Amino acid sequence: MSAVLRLRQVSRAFGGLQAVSRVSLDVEAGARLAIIGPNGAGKTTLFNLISGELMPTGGRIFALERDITRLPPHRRTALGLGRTYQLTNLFPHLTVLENMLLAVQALERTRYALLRPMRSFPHLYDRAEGLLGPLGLWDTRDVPVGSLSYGEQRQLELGLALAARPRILLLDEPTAGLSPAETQAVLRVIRGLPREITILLIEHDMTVVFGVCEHIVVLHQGQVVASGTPEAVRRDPTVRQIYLGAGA
Amino acid sequence: MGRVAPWAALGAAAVVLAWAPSYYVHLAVLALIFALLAMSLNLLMGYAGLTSFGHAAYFGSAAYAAAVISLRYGGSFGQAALGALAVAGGLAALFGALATWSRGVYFLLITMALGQVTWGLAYRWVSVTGGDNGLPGVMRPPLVIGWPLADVRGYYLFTLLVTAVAFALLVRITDSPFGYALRGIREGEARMRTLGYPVWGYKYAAFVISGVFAGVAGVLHVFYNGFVGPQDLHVSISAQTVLMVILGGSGTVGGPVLGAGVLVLLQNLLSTFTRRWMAVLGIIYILVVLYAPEGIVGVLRRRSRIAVPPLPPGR
Repeated sequence: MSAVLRLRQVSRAFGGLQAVSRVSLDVEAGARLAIIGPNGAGKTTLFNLISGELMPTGGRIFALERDITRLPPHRRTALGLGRTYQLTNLFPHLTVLENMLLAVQALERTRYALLRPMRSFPHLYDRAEGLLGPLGLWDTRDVPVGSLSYGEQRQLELGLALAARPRILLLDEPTAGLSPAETQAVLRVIRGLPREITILLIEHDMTVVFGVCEHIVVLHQGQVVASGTPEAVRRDPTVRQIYLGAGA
Repeated sequence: MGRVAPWAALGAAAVVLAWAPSYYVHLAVLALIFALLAMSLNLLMGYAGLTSFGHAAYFGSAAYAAAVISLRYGGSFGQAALGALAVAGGLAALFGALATWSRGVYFLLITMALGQVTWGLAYRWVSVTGGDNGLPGVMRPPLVIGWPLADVRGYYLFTLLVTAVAFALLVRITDSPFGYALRGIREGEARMRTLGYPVWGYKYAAFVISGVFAGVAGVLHVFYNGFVGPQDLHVSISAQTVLMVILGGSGTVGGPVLGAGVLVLLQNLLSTFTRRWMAVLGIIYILVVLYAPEGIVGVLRRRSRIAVPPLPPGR
């Protein structure tokens, strides 16, 4: 197996604050990697650097055999990087199906079609509707997204990211704020994803982390302080100190 | 079929209107021209979420271009119309390149400022525009492909045809993947970018298309009035067009047409009673924004939704 995502000494500063500091990481194809750490550790900033919403102030990022350090976000999406957001980021006045259609056609040539109705592209509807089923959103397909429950919006968030057929998927707290039942549903979807998709996951809920991931990276004050299997990380003295305080 | 029948009825009624008393035909021509202008703005404002406050620029510049081509160079109606659309499209291509980098209130201010530049230019560039006096004497050709344009009723039917074609084209555009993408940009520009859409390209294309359709309205207007002056580029035309879109229902298919019809009628009715009709329009604007921000179409939709028994819950 080869690494599909490589970070080399990646840093990002906001003024005097070093949010991400010299992070180096190799993610193997098909990996299920969790990034954990206390609030403000730089986890979401790291995701923003990988997805291109932020540019690093130092270091290089390679994905799928390419240097993507300076590539704009939409080019990274076309390359095979998908992500979800911690705060739900959807198209609220459009229906569930319309949201999915936008995501499905994002990388198709037909997205520029000006005088042909959307309805005349049945394969887009097939793919969009095919994705709604496993997410449990089939019954809500004609509902404006703004009136969905929070849990359903999180499911759709995942659906939009999957629609672009990503090869690397970044999930930013996919189960934050969900009920236990909704969490289980999201977990089922994530576990059901094929191994062709490499998954990076930010999560506070340890049942999710241990339920999905085989590898954990611990971030603290912008730096990687531990990395390894869930068992190894659980026993790591530095990690215990960060999470449980100096006395542990 | 359910969607086509009411439009067919409306079209038939519009054709019959050509034999109404000439004052009403006159109002109908104005309503159609402004409906076309409002429709063009709706593509940008209602679908892409970019409120242009300078749409008079493309309307007026097309009118000036048509007048100059037919008065100074003796161009035919067709030559004047094509030249005018090229000028409106070129101007939109130029202004769009400047304005579409911004959005929200900044977009509104930039488009307004650019619109005022064209107005100032029309005032000062006397050798071409006739300055304050404008360009009078633009004549409708008596016949175009056997169609009697010189006659008001003939011109009304011609305007009806052009507006209907523009309407069909714009509906087609908003139903297309391109139109869906514009709605996505209105709802979440940043998310569209991460989904992989070249967002700026869509905004720019929508801006230019919108400008060309506004130019069509400008051509119809100058040949109807026989005159173009700086007031055709004035910000009050831009503001009125924004008001038509909001009043009818921004981002709806029929809204701008309704809004334009209502406003043209109101203007002409009110101006016979009071010279303060602009104040009345201002009050209407405030009331619509406060109580019916989704416009007439939005209110009608809400009504019909209440009348129908609610759908059973999906889950």
